[in-house]
Amino acid sequence: MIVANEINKSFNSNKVLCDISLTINRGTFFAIKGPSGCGKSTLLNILGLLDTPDSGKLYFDDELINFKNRTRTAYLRSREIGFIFQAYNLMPKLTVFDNILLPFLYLKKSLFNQNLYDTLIERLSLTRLLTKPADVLSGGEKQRVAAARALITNPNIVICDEPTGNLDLANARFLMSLLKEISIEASKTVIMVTHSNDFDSFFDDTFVFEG
Amino acid sequence: MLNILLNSLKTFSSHKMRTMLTVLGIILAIAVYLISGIYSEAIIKTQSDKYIEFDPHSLYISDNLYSTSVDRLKQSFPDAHVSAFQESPLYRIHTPDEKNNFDVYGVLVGVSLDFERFPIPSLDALDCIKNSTLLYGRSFNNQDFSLNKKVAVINLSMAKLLFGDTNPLGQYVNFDEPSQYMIIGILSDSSDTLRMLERFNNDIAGIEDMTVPFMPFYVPLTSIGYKYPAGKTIVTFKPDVDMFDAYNAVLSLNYSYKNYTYTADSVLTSLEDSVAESNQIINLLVLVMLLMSGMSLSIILIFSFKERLPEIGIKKAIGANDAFILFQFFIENAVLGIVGALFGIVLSFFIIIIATPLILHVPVSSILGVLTWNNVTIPILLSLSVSMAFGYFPSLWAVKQNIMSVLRYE
Repeated sequence: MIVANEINKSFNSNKVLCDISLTINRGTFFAIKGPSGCGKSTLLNILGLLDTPDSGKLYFDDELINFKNRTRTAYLRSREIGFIFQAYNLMPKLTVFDNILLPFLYLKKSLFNQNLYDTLIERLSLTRLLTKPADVLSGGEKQRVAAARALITNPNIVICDEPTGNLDLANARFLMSLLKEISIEASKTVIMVTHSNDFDSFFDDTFVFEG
Repeated sequence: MLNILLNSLKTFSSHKMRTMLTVLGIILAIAVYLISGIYSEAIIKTQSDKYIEFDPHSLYISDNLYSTSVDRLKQSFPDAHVSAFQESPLYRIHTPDEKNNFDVYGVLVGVSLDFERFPIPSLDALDCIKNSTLLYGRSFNNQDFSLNKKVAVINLSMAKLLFGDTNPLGQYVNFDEPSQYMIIGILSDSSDTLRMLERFNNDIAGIEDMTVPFMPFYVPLTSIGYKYPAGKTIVTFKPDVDMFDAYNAVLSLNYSYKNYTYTADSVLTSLEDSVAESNQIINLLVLVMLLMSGMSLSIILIFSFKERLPEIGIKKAIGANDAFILFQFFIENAVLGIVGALFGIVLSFFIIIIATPLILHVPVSSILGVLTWNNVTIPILLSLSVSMAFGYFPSLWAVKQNIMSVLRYE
């Protein structure tokens, strides 16, 4: 369970988040919605431990997150959280294979699960792309690779920042289906920022920023 | 570790130009360091090989030893052997038409006068010359001194060598300098003259700080049978002689010899000192080059890391902590340093092999003979230190960047 309590965040005196409180239960497909510039991504980044709030508290299960402890937040990002970004954020010159296994540069090799890898490669249709460098892939292919990289460590939380924003409808539907599937079958918490209403039926719970 | 290393190599291969620029400064600095170092070593080795031929029981005196000095030395060391160390001519004496030229060796006695340039060592000695009996012509007089006339007195043997049967009086001779000296008198080669000259020599030998008694006109004593050709002298002692005692004995002859007397070791030390002195300049140059390449490395790395901020952000987002990213940059900097050093070493050897016969006209083997493993390990360690030290702060800067600001670069 993730609990955010009175989270505040400002950028250069511009208050982006004001006393945001929410609770996300394990295994929930959770959406954060709202108009552009309302602070959706900022909240998501704080929940994903990529950014630090100015004030407020964040709990992962019962652990109060100490954002000043960079080693601990890095550890939680590596073990508990997987990220899927709108801009994919792949390493362009590395192959698909190297991109997917990039987290294991920082993790013990014993945490690598061959079955999970095989399942992801097959499920995301990445077999024929494994040796290609990431920068030659299409948008849909890049996002599938990003999804594989996010899931290869078997994280409990998957953070998605508008992952369908650069995809066509078919690819977007495929990705949403996949995320819904892992949320249900593997009881993973998926937190997604989106401004689209097209996939509202996928979400179990939604936090909406008022305009 | 291996994964990080492979990852670094992949990073380099995907940014070839940037990597090449970074390494180039290191290569040049290492090449300068190594080439100057190896050539200095080679110079010392070549010279020391030469000096090793010298007898360690000898003293080398870059001055003339007068006969009285030799006699005094032999009172303490009867078996000491005195000989010419280097028989290079001190002067050439020649007629204006250049028909007859003679190299002048040995102890020389001045008989002309140049008061502005050289003081008179002893009025007694001067009187001795002035009052000497000549075969022909006249000796110097007071007017010659007061007017600083360019006149000369030479001995009979030299006069015959220069002018044959022609009357030498009134003829001119040249020495190394362009001025001509008119011959006004001829000294006898007789034993009386020799004794007179030797007495004169004895006088000046006792005067400290007076190595050149009269200039610029000399009678070469070799040509009139003087025993010790001089200019540079080697004195060899028996093996059981303490060289420290020998050295002090030479100094007791004339304290000014302190500046001119060497052992084989001190010659080598002096050479090493002189090479070390020039090496200091080269080392300073190398240090400046290394600092410059280090600073350029820092600047290039800052630009490089700015360009790589998205990559840093991605790695942090997927769980890399600060220490790991810093460690990865350390590995990259170390690889750059080692690669730069290796290329620098190869470039240095290449330049040495090509340039040595072409420029220095000595075989490459004479240079390669001085090579040791230090010529490989020290440049690598030096380069490694510089790349690590100057790469540290850019790496730290990159690591401390906020993840979100970093990812916004994408």
